Amino acid sequence: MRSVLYVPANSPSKILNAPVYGSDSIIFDLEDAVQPEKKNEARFLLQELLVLDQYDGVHCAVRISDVRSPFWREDLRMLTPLLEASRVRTLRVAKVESEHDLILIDRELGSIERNSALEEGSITLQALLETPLAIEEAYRISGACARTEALVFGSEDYCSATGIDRYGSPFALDYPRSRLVAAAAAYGREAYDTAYGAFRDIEGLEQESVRARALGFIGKSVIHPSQIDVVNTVFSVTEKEAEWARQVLGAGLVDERGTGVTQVEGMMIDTPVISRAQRILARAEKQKR
Amino acid sequence: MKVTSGSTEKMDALVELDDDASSITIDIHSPVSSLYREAQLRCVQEVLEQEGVDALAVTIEDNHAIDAVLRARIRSALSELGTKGGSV
Repeated sequence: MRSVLYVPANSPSKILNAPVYGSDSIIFDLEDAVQPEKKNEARFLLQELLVLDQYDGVHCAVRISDVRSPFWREDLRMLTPLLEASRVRTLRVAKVESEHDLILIDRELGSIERNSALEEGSITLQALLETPLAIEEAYRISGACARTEALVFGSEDYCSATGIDRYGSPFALDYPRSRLVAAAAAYGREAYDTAYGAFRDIEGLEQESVRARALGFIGKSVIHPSQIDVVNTVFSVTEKEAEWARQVLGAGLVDERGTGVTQVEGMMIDTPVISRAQRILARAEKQKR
Repeated sequence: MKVTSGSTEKMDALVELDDDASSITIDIHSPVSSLYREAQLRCVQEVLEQEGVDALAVTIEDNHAIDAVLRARIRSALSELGTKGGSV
């Protein structure tokens, strides 16, 4: 997924229009975008709307409240019919700060899967890391449970706690980004970058996206449809990259003299380079769908 | 006891339920009444029937909500009424 569009879960017009904008995934937000007294309304709305035909084939996820809030269990209970029917396959968990947060949710999801004959682990999790504590715990969070498919950076609370002005320098968030990407990669998870809040600043969004991609993220959260095209473009595998990957895989590890070392465009090809080429082609294939 | 759900935003509906009623009454204000009044009434009645409701005053301010939105708003209002100890 290159672009992941956040949509407030209590707005019928935004929910119903979301699939037309071209994001790779949609996250219906039951957390920050919905006031506490409106959460139940939003849960019923998702139950009724996400079964409509217009979401067929759309990757739908829901952001649920964190495990320290009074809301997450009811979020899960009300989402169960959608999870059982595979209308929602992924939950993005807000404010994850320790491995125990995910273990708790993993158990609940396991129970839903067993009760509905879903394959174990078929409901996947994305962990949203939003605080300095979460960033420091990233490695343990990444390894907490097998159903975690991605770590996601959320920068607002992080910047607030650390005093970082994220718009002051393109490098300001390099440390938490790199730490999150490394922790994700350690367990084979994907990494998604934080949303860019200044949604009218498309140039700034592009710069930040380029930086995030260079640091290893494969996609980015977006909060406005106008951000989707830029993010999709920046995080797409280019034809040049795909061609390089095909050449690498074509060349293989062993050259014709049997020395075990070969090269493409002056670059030595070894096992990690082949792995990278395989990942690039896998992502290119996903983009076509 | 009165409860509300939804809003008057575009594609939404503001549903008000009042359990101080001896039968079901449904009052719908909608810009598309001339075309869809019967369908909207049927939608509301179906939800009330499914939930086993036989006495309730329902008032709806519709702003081009589709049936699924109406259903969601009524169901969440009914849930709130139940939570607050209403007679439904």
